[in-house]
Amino acid sequence: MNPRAARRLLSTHLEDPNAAAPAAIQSALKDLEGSSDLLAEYNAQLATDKQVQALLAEVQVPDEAIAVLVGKIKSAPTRYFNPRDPAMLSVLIGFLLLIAVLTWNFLGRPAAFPSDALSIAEEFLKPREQTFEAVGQPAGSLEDWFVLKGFDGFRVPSRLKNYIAAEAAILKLDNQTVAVVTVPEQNAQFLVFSGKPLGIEITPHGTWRSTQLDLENAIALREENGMCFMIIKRGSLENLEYFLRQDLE
Amino acid sequence: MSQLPKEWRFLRAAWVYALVVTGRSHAATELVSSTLGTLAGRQDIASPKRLKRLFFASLRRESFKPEQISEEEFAGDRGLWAMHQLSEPGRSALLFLHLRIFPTDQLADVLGKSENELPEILSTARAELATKLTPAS
Repeated sequence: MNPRAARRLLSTHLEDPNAAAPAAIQSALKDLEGSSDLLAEYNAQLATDKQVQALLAEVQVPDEAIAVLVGKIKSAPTRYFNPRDPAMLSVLIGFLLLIAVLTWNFLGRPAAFPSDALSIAEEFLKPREQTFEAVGQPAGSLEDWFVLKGFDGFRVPSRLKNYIAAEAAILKLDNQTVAVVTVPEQNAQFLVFSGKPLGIEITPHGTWRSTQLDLENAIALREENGMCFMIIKRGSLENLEYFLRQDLE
Repeated sequence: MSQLPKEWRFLRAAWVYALVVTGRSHAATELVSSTLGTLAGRQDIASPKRLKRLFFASLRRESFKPEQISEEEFAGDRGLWAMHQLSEPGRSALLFLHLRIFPTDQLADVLGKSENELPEILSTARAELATKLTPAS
């Protein structure tokens, strides 16, 4: 630090007899020794500061003045929670928004149709080469057929067991092995796949989630013991839900 | 004897500042009291540091309003009268520094000046004061 910079720094410094000067000030004092003019100027500053300190130390604040100020403080309105305060309002809105997002996330997600199951349904409806085999048996009796083909766990809800499956196949959809049967009499397909790799869990078990997949198809899904059973049915969601209600009755 | 609450202890220093600036004891009390009245009820000032900064900035602004007084009317001794006569912002800078109210960066902020201007302001004020102070005071 050059002496002039040191002098500038020392201008803002006030000596405190009860505390050691900060390192920067001590360094500035050393650097100031290089200039006798600036050192003399600083000594004059110290003398003036000493006089000012002595003058201010003599000033006594009258008790009456303190009493007036204490009274003023006591009469001031106490700080209170004001919901109209913009800051409070912002915090409140932010908090409510957070609650809404968390509620949506934790409560809304289970009620929604699982997105991975939607992807499987969409993948299934894409045109592909025919790989189905004719079976012509009730859907409920195809468990062994699928085991022999290498798919374990094909189960159909009891009320749907008697629908005749015209064709069956094991497909790879969205990297998942899916057992599929077609049920022409209902214009529907039954798909069975493991829900565990996708993290699909529908509670309570045995209940249906349904949605309109596109303009022509509606889908419904249920999950039991880690296996998902999905119906893709041509028509509206109302038709599908009517079909499911029949299943329950 | 009344005691100032902890967060308002700086009012003693404020009163001393106000005495030098106004030159009268009752005017000093009135000035500090009116500034206090303006700020004490403010709900939006949560931080004590901010409250103190706003208080002194406001006190300084209000201190420009009182009328000029003569040396005979001045309540303090000749040394304080010399300080009273200093020009702004040097007078406030010197008083705030000696009353140890703010660190340097905040001091410049309260005066509405940059930190770079502060050394010059203080040097000028000290030089002006030195010429006014006699060895007897």
